[in-house]
Amino acid sequence: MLNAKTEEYEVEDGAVLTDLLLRYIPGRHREASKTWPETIFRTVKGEIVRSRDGTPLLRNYLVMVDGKSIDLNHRLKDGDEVTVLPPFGGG
Amino acid sequence: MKSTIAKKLDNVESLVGLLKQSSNEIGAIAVFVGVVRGTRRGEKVLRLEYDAHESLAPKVMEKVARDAKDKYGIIDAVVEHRTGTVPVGEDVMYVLVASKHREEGFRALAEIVERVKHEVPIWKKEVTEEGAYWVENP
Repeated sequence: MLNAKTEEYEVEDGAVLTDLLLRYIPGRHREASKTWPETIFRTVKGEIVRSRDGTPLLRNYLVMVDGKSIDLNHRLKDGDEVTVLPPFGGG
Repeated sequence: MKSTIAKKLDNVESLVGLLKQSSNEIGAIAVFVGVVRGTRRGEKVLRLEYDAHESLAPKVMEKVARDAKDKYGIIDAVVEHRTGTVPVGEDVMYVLVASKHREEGFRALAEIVERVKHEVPIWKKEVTEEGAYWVENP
């Protein structure tokens, strides 16, 4: 969808995974950003559905940091390898 | 435990033979063969195109098989999944489970197949006469 398998981002101190997914990635991919949020997050009438603490809820996408599934409030640090995987379709 | 992602699957008989060599306690080998179906929702399917996270997918498959071993007490298992273009009618996935008795083998087999379909980072594009679509497992 983003036509990029691997890319690097420099984020501000204190940025969390949600910031990367909702600000940094759409900011770099202007065209894809029109459909990106509703592709990876659950939405109702165009609005992202959030949990009680405000964390957006993923659709069936899997987001990992350094190979492990992780909370979207994870504070990003230097060297974090973030993987965003679309819903699976094996078999 | 053998978990493989590759453009070509091994021969089923050779995999059965491999499992038989792992223990003389084996009393049953259950086999699942996933095949590319030629229709979907009334559309004629021409082929499927599979892509996988090459480093992560085998690790997740290995974990799924090990979990089944711990849960059901099976003796051994093999999971193989094909990548690339797979024409209609050809095999795309093999799961084999060796166990002492058939009951735990059937249960483990069903669970491994379901988990591979939903937890292993593999994606398929369905190419039909109407167009091509990425397919998400229900």
